[in-house]
Amino acid sequence: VEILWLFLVCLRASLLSLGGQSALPLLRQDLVSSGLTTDAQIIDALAIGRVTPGPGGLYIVVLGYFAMGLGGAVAALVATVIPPLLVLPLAAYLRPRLSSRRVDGAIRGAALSTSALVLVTTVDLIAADPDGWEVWQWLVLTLAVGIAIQGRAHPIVIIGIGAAMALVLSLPW
Amino acid sequence: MRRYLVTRHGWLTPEEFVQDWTLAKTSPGITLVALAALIGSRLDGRRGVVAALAGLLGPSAAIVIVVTIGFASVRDMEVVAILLDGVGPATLGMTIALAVIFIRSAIRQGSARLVDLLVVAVAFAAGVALGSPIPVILGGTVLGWAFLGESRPSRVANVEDADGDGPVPRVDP
Repeated sequence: VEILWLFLVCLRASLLSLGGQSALPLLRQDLVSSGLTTDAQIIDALAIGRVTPGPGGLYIVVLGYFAMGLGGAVAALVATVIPPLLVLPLAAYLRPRLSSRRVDGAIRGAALSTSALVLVTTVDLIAADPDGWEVWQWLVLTLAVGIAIQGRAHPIVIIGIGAAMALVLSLPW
Repeated sequence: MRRYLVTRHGWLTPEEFVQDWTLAKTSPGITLVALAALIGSRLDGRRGVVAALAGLLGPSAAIVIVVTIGFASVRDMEVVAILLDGVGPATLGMTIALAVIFIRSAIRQGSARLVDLLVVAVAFAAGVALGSPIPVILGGTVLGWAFLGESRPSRVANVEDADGDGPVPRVDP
């Protein structure tokens, strides 16, 4: 029964998102409030989703694993694959209407609001860190935003920079 | 993906690829999954969809699960905890960057730009105030449907960016 619930949570989050990342606010709301995953695990899942090959949205599969092991990962994968497939039956209807005012506006409204919610979730995740952040961690965040917006460096490089800074600063100087 | 399908094999024309990419971006869930399904369907119907999804998700989901299992087994080591102090901010920085890129690709030019940025600000405030994403997503989509449309998309799909999840250039290893 719990697996079915996880499947429905991932399905709903994916259905109400544009692009994998915008499912994040709904997933966090459902999975963290139910105690199935922690905020730290959400960040871990995002990191794994970014450094592994394939769509970054597969962080949802990682969350499924954290919540309920291998069965959870499979349930999350299936739930994540179904919503984008809706584009197939809708393609014939949508193709001629992609340039219509209403469709264009609805997509824009959804993109802007879901992106704003991702930013809210990011702020929440930072605020939820029980230890609070040190100055160098804010520096890593700023650096990561700057590099990632340029879009030229692979996520592994950006995550490597953060990990390297953490390691260097932890040494007994 | 574009280089392989359009340039090297000539299975799709550049126009067909742009059309599928634009459609995929309007689909719920992971953009790359929708794109793979559309292209698979174009090339070989249902068999094409299955083949495309198996190719896109089979290896990558397997790698994600293996990496997750590996990660879960070392998560509690002290050195990993130290590294994660830096990985977290780097990951959240990339998450912010993706949201910013998504917003940038969705906002219109000219004076409508201010309206769109206001929508982002209001959605952010509503997300914080309500603490629940669904009303914000639905509100944003309906608001967009009613007021934010242009009869022609404000921005032509950037085909060179089409290798990633969402509107983000992503370098696959």
